[in-house]
Amino acid sequence: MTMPTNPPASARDNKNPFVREGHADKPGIIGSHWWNQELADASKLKSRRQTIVALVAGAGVVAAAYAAIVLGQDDTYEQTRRSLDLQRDFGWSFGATSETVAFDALYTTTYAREALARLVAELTPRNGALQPWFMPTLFQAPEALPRLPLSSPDSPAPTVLAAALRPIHTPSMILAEAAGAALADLLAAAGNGVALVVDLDGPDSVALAAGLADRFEPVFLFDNWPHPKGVVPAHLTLAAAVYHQPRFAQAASARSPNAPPVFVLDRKRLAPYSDEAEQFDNRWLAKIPAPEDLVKLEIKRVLYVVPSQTAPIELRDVSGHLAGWARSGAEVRAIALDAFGPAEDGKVRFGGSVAAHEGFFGHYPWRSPAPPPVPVPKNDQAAAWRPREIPQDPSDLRVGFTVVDVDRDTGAIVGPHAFRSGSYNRSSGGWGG
Amino acid sequence: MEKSIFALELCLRFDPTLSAALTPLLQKPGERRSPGEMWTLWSQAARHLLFRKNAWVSGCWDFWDDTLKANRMYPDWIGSLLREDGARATPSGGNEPYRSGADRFMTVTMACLLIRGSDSERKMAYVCEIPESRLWHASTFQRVLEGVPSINFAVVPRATLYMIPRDEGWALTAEDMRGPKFEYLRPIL
Repeated sequence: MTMPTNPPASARDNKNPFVREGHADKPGIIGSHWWNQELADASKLKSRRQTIVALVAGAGVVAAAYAAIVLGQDDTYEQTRRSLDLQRDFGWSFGATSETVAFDALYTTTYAREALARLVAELTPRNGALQPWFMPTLFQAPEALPRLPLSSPDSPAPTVLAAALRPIHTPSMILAEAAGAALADLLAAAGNGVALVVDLDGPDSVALAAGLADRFEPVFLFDNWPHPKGVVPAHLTLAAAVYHQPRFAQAASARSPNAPPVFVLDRKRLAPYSDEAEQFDNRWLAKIPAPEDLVKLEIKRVLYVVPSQTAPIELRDVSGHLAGWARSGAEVRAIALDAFGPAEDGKVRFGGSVAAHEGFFGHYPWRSPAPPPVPVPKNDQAAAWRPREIPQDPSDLRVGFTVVDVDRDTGAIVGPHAFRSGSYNRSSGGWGG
Repeated sequence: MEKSIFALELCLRFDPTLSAALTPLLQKPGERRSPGEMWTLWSQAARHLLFRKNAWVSGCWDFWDDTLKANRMYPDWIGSLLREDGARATPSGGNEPYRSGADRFMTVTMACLLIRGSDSERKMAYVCEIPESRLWHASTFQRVLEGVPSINFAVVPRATLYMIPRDEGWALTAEDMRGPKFEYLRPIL
């Protein structure tokens, strides 16, 4: 085997025309995808010339067909790309840079923007055993800048999300936080080995985790970025996290280092997606621990918190793991957030009364002796639920992907494929990559 | 610009030394590279793969001197990187190939477009001129990998190189390899 020790002379230049347009550096995969800007620029000119040639030669059938490809498809072909990668490369508002996200002014509060720099650090689990599951993705969004430059002077320059971000604190968040505190008090009597999976609308999930934070270590699993046309209103989840950031930081410093986890999900992660011309697919699939990981974390009981007992209790992307947890010996139960309400003592309690609250372990026999259960009609079906595997929807393979138009010759992304007049589409034409 | 595509994917028994050798190359910081740096990266990766020929399990490679095909096939080759759909979503557990006998695997994928008619493209066309009966022989993969250092990246419009997994605990299992995500890989003869 002969191996040259030096690259060919023509490759030994000191220019750096290769631009990294995709990169993964995760436990499961590492690598990069590069494009040669120098060749792309050169071929762009050639491409236009070829287009003209094709037009002139368009009398024949073959030439006409070629023109249909080159011109009818705008000299591009479609390519499916991970939405999050597009946002990381070209900005959070990819394809809609003239738009932004909005917050209901009634529930926004002030905050110190400089605290955003600490958001990832302060929301990262302190317990090293839980860190592999933490997803910093959403919390990286506010100050992120595009990795690749905007080459089209016609496209508005993307602004950072932080400029639009406002913390929110809504009535449902207030109730969720109080319910979280009530649950934390209840589960303190259940002993070790209890974990929670909170699967509410993003802001409520964050608020419930804030209520639990004195006793349970939040492990946020939000794996998307907000987008002006996002299917998932991730900006609200982020705004709720920013609101509760001081609470999480304070609780982390006071909590036991071995506190059990609360895995925090956004139930809107699989929101219906039907109109690619009006929506950006920022949906995502939950990545919760596998059954063997649950065993390693010494978790024996899991409480799955859902908004209400209306079917389906569990979303399809977590159903397999929840069922697997049960098969591996964990006791997996569900509880409905709307089973919590103000009791006669003014506190938010399970079942909305002191008696129902005290009968909690009658429904969830994790304390011995278990008290007699007090009926809680809003939670009957949730308490009776047991995990079962829901068949995956084949369309889930497409969750979180966006079809883009790619310049046939240069390989540069022209913009989202879906066309509708307005800024969402080719306003970002000319993006490199 | 007329293009050809060259691509190769190798599945090997998980080798922590290969992972340790390739990871720093793939982690090298910076958003830009020179053709020389790309050549070094690819050549070193090819050399590491050649040194571990006895760990090869299965693989797949392509060379097409057809622009339309190249443009259509290239996204397929980088699909696993873009969608991370070949990578495990959860750890597979520790790799103990010398003790437990639990097989763990890894894949290394390289794909690039080449300007058709360039010296590099013609050299790879020659290297990849293989009779159909020998397409999946180890000697063929060796020949193709040995041809990689002849690629001059000044004539490469796009290139990708990635490894699954990065960390030992996320190595692919035999069940993963039997799944639909890797069904295109052929046993190496």
